[in-house]
Amino acid sequence: MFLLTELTSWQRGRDSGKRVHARDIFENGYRLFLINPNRIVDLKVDDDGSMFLFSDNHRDRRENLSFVRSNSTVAEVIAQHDVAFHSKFITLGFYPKNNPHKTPVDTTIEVEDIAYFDDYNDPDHPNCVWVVYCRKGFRRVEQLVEGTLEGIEDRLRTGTTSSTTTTSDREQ
Amino acid sequence: MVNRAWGNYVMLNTNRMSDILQLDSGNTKFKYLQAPNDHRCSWDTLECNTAIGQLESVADTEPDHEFGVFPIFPTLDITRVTIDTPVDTEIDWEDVCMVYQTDRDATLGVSHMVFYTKSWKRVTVIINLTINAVNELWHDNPD
Repeated sequence: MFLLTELTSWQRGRDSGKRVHARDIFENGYRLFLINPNRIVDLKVDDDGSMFLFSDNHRDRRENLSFVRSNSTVAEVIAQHDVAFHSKFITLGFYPKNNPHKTPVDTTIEVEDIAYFDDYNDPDHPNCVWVVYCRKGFRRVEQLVEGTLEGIEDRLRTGTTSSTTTTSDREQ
Repeated sequence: MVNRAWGNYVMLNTNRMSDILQLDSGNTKFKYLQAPNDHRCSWDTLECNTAIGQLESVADTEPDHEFGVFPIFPTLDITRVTIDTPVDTEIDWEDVCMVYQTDRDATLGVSHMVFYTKSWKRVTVIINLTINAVNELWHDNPD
């Protein structure tokens, strides 16, 4: 199962950029991500949380690893990885051309191909998140989809959305 | 593959599918990556008349064994299938890319199978099973 976790640092290996920005740290002290534990390597204890390496495309030997610090403990990461998915596939509403004003198109992808979900930084569209997934080993795709991190986590676990939490409901 | 496979039936592996869409016609369209662990292998775009729900259901069904037993002929020569003796070979279902029959395969009761030796190599073989027999092998693997 995916891990909904507060990340305090995410140093990208592919272009040396950061996915947890100074503004996230200033406002919340972290940024919330829904990540796939099947991409994690070298999981270690880091104070009260954990640190690990993360591969966006674990099938591609050219893909460098990112360095990540998380508020989740090693035990929490392991426990979440052991939770079974509802299905090997999930259907997400893909916004054509990543435009949240367009009508989303239901598209089914394999859960194992998804690297992580990240919030969409637009308060006018609280029901949008980015999904980063791989068309197997060939290509990494960043796609804007309908939903919230909590709602998608629910769907991955149970097949339905019981949570109606939106980005604005969280402390931001 | 269409108009080449017998009856246009091709047995595919759901672990190679991505971006599955339901079309207005009721058909299903998806990207199929034959070598999922090879970054050089781009996708094929396929359309079939199997519903998305059925694809998901098949993907969520675990075979009894991770390996299937396939009687493989020593050569990829269709004229030798009545002469050579097939060799039972265990292959991980995850590595199987597709199974299909040409019209001649259907007459002889054999099939073509494409599988990968993990990330290393694409292999095409002739097996001494019909496409229906492979389907039954997957659903009801012998203990």
